[in-house]
Amino acid sequence: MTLWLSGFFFVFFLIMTFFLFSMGVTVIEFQLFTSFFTSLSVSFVIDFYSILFASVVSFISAMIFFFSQFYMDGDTQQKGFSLLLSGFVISMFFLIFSPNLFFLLLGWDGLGLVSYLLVVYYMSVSSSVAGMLTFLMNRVGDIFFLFSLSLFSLFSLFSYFDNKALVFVQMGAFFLLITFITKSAQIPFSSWLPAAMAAPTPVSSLVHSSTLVTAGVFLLIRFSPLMLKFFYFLIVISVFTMLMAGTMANLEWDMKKIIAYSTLSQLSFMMLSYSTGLIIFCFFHLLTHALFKASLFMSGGLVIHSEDSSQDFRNMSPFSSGKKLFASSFVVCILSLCGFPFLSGFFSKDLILDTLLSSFVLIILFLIGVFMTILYSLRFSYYMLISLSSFRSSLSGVYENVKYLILPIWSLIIFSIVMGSFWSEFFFNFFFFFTYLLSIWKLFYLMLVAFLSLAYMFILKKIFFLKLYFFSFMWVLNQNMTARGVKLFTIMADKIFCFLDQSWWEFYGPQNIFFSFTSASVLVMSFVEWSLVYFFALFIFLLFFFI
Amino acid sequence: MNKNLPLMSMFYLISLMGMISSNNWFMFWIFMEMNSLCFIPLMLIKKTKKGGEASLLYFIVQGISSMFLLMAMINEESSLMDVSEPNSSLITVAFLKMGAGVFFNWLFLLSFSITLSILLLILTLQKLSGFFLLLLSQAGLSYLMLIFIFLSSFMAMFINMKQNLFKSMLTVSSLSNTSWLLTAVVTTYSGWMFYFAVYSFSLVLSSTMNNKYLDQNYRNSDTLENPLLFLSMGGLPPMPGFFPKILILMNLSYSRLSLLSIFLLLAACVDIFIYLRFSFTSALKNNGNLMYCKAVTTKSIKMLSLSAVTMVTMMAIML
Repeated sequence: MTLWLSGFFFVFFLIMTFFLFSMGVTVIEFQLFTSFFTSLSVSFVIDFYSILFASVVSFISAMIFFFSQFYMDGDTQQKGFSLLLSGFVISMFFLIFSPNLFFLLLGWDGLGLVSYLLVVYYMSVSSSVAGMLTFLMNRVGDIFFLFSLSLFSLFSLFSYFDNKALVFVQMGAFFLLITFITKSAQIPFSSWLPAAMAAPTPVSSLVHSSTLVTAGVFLLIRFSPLMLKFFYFLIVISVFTMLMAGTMANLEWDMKKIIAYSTLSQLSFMMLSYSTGLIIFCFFHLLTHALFKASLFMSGGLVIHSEDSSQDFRNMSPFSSGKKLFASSFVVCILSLCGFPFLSGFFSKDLILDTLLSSFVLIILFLIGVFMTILYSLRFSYYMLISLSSFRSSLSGVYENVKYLILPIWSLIIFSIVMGSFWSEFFFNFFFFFTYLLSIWKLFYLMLVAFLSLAYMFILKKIFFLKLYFFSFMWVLNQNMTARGVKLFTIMADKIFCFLDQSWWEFYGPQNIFFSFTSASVLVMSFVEWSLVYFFALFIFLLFFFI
Repeated sequence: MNKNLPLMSMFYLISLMGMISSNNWFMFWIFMEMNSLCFIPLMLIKKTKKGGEASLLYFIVQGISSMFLLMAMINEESSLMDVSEPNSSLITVAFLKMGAGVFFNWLFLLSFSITLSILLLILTLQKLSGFFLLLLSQAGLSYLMLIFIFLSSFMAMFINMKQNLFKSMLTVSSLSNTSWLLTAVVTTYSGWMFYFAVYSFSLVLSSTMNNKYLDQNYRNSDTLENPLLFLSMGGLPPMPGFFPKILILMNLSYSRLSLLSIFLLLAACVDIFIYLRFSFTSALKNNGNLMYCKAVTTKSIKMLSLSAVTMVTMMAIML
C-alpha cells in the first residue's frame, strides 16, 4: 500500500516535470453553479509556481512514503497511516492548484483535520494534548479564513485573480494574512509547532518540508498583490519569530524539536524575505528548504528508530560508530541549512542576504537570526557526530531494512545538492557570479560569527540562563496563547453575558421592540377591523377629490 | 359541479385577456365589468353561510372602482388628485381593486366569509386587473405610489402580528407581497412577472395542502409544509420566494432607491420573524396525532408539493 502510493506520487512528479518547462499561465475553469448574483466554479491554475511546487511536493511525498515503509514497519495500522498521509498530500494539491477561495478552504480544512488525526496517531495523553493544541490553533486560522471568505463573497471575488482595492477587500486580505501566519506558525501562534512533534517522524518530515507549515508561505506568495499593505506588520512578526526560534533551538534537548525550531526559523527567514518584497526569492528558498528539511527529518527518524524511540540526544551518538553514509547525509543537510557554498540552501539564502543589505536595522536583526541558525546547527551536529558516550550499540536494527533508507534519503540529498544550482540556473537566474567576489562583507560576517560563537560559549550563555524561564518556554508564548489567553476571554464573555446580554441589552433591545410592535399592531388592527363604516367614509372622502 | 362553470371560467379568462390587450379605457372598463360579473357567480357556487354577504361586498367594491374609473375617464383633465402626473386617479382605482394600503379593509373582511379557493383567486388572478391598469397607464414611481407601498408593507407588518387563522394570514401576506409587486410593476416588468408567477404558485400549492385545516387555528397545524410555504412567501433564502425579492432589490439598488428598499426589507424581516415563530411551534411540537396527520396529507401530495417547490427553485436559479 505504502509503496504503491509512493510510486503513484513519483509518477505524478514525473508528469509535473514534463509540464515544468512549458511556461505561461493556464487556468481551467468548470462552472458549477450560476445565478444572477453569484457564480461558483471549480478552477485549476497551472503556472510556474503551482507546477514547480507540486513537483517538489510529489517528489518529497513519494520519498517519504517509501521511508515510512521502513519507519512504520511493525505498525498494525500501516494502511490507515499511509491513507491519512496521502490525504495530507491531496489537500495540499488542492491548495496549490486552486485559485478559488472555496476550494482553498476545502484543502485548508483537510490539512487541519488530517494533521490532528496524525498528531494523535500514537494515542497517548501527551499526543492527545498536542493534537488538540495543534487543531485549535489551526482552527483560529480557519475562523479568520471564513471571515475573509465572507468579506470577499460580498463582492463575489472568489479567486485571487480579481482583487480590487476596496476597503472590505483590504480587511479580508488582513484576515487572510492572519490565517496564513497561523499555518506557518509565526509568533503569536507558534506554540503548536513543537507540540505537533508528537506525530510519527514521516509525518513531521512531510509537514515541515512541504505541506502544512509551508502552505501558509505558499499562499502568501499566491496572494502577494493583496498583501502589499501589510508588509511592515509581517517584517516585525517574522524577525521576532526568527529570534525566538533560534534561541529555542539553542536551548532544546529534544532532537525532533530542534529540527522543528529550525524549520520555524527558516520559515520566518522566508517571511522576512517575502515582506521585504523578495517574493520570488522566498519561493526559491521554500523549494530548497523543502528538499533538505525532508531528508534531515528522515535522518532524525533513523536515529530515533535505532535508539529505541528516544529523542533526547544527550546520551547518544548514533553516527559516530554507525554508518558513514547516513552521517554524511546528515552533514550535507546541516550544511545546506547553514547555507554552505554550492549546496542548495546556499543559492537561495545567499540571494536573500545579498539583497537585504539595503536596510541597516533589518540586516542587523537578520544577521543575528542567521547567526542563531549556524549556532544551533553546529551544536546539533556536535552532539550527533562526536561520540560522547558510546555504551549503546548504534544503528543495530537498521541493517535489515537499509534498502528502504538509502533510496529516499540519498535521492533527496542528491536533489538538495544539485537542485539549488539547477533551479537558479533555469528559473531564478537573477544573479551573477561576480557578486560573490564583490560582497566582501561575507568575510566580515564569518569573522563575526566566529567571534559571537566564542562569546556565546563564555559570556552569552550565562545571560541566557539568567532568563531561562522566558527563553526556554518559547518566550512564554505557550502559556499566554493557551490557558491564560482563554481565561481572559472567558472572563470577558461572562461579564458581557451578565451585564449586557441578560440585563438591559435584552430589556431595551428585543423585548422593547417586540412590545412596541405588539402595541402598534393592536392599534392598526382596530383600524382595520372597524368594519365597513371606515371604508365608506374613505369612499366619500375620495369622491370629494374626484369631483 | 355547476353546469355553467366552464362557460363562466372561459368568460373570466377572456376578460383577463381583454383587459391587458385593450387599447382604450372604455374597452378596459367593459372587460373589467365582465370580469367582476363572471367572478361574483363563481363566489356563489359553493353555498356558505356568509357567501351572499361576501359577494355583495365584493360587488360594491368593484362597482365603486368601476365608477371611479368611469369618472377618471370622463374628466381626465380636472381631477383634483393629480399632484405629479395625470393618471393618479387611475392609480387610486387600481389600489382600490387590489386592496392595497388603506383599502385593505374590504379584503380583510371578505377573507373571513369566503372559501379558500375563492380567496386564492382573489389574491392572485383578481389582482391582475389592478396591475394591468397600472401597466396600461404607465404609472411611474410617484409620491402616491410610494405612500401606498409604504402603507401596504407597514400595515401588513403590524396586522400580521395578531393573526392566527390560515386564511387571514394568507390575506395579510398578500398585502405585504402587494407592496413588493407594486414596487416591481413600476420599476421592472420582468421582475414583476417573475414575482407574480412564484407567488401565485406558492399560494396554489398551499391550497392543495391545506384543505383540512380550513378555519382552524394555524398554530395547531401538524404539517411542516405550511411553514415552509409561508417562509417562502416571506422570502427566506433557499426558498423560491427569495429569488424574485432579491431580483427586485437588485433593480432598486441599480436605480438608487435605497430608502424604499430599506423599508421593504424591514417589513420582510418582521414577516419572516412572525412566520418563523409559527414554524417553530409546528416543527418542534411533539406530534401526538401522527396517524391522523398521515391520513390527511397523503404521500402523493407531499411528493407533488416537494417536487413543485424544487422545480420552482430551479426555475428561479436558472433565471
